Amino acid sequence: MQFFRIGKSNLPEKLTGGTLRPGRNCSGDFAVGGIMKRYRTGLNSFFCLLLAALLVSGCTVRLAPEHEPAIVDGLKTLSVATSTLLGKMKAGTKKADFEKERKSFYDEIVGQANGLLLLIDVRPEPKPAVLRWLGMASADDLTKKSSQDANLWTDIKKLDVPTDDQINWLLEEVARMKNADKNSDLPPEAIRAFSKPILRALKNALTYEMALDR
Amino acid sequence: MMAAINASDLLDNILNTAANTASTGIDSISQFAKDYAEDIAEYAALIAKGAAPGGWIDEEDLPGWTKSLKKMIREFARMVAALIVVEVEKIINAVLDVIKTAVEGVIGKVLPI
Repeated sequence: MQFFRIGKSNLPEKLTGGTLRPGRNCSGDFAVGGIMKRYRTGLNSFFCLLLAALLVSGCTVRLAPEHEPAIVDGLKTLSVATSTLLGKMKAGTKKADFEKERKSFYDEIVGQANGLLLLIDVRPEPKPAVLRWLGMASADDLTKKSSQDANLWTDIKKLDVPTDDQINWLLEEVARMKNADKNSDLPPEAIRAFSKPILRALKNALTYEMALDR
Repeated sequence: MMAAINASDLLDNILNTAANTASTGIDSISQFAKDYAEDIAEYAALIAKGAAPGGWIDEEDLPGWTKSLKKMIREFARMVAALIVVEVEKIINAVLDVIKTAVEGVIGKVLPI
């Protein structure tokens, strides 16, 4: 039996079926040659199976967390709630209407986003040593040069799952919009500007979570 | 008697699989990056227009808007890095799948994995 097609001349006798001699290929002092000939096929099969087992036992590599449909569903629900509020505000807002018309929508978004953060928080995240090593190697040199960029590169080098940060970013932007909405009349351009980072954070989280469905 | 693995065919399969998977991944990441870049440009334009004289952004609110724009740019880099990690994982697993299929061909059994 031959497992890989490799020229015999490149291999030691032990692997190509040559006779093993005591004191050369093994340290024993018994008649290895005869025994090896008799059991060679069996041993080769065993090593082939062992090799196959070793190969397939590590068959799936995980560098990112598992796809969690509940998180994607939560993000979709959050998108609907956010789009509903932004749709209501599209033509501009009056601060006098805030309590009556929009406060409950803001509260709903914040509640859903916080519930989603809990779900994301309990999902296990793989932290393979190779990623940690790669992250450290790439970021440490860069962070020495500029303290302003250090935070960004520190974040990138961690290669953390970005979903929770996107939701936190969304919460920050919603809070900023809520504060402006409560205290002043907002023109349609302001609503368009506020909606950009909010929708971007949602798109980012959805893109990443859907990419995990592999 | 087990069949033999043709190392040359296996290598070809591995390279083709890696190239195809990488190509799909690069397409989706570049589409994401293009969409993101458009958002950044539009957001920056809206802030610039609002901060212009007679615009709707007050002077005291301007730092909040610039901070928000910076955050959007910063998250772009993070997101691309995170998506690349997912794509690298897909390439590694696709290659391992090719090797697994080749091993299954040799041993004549479908491995329950």
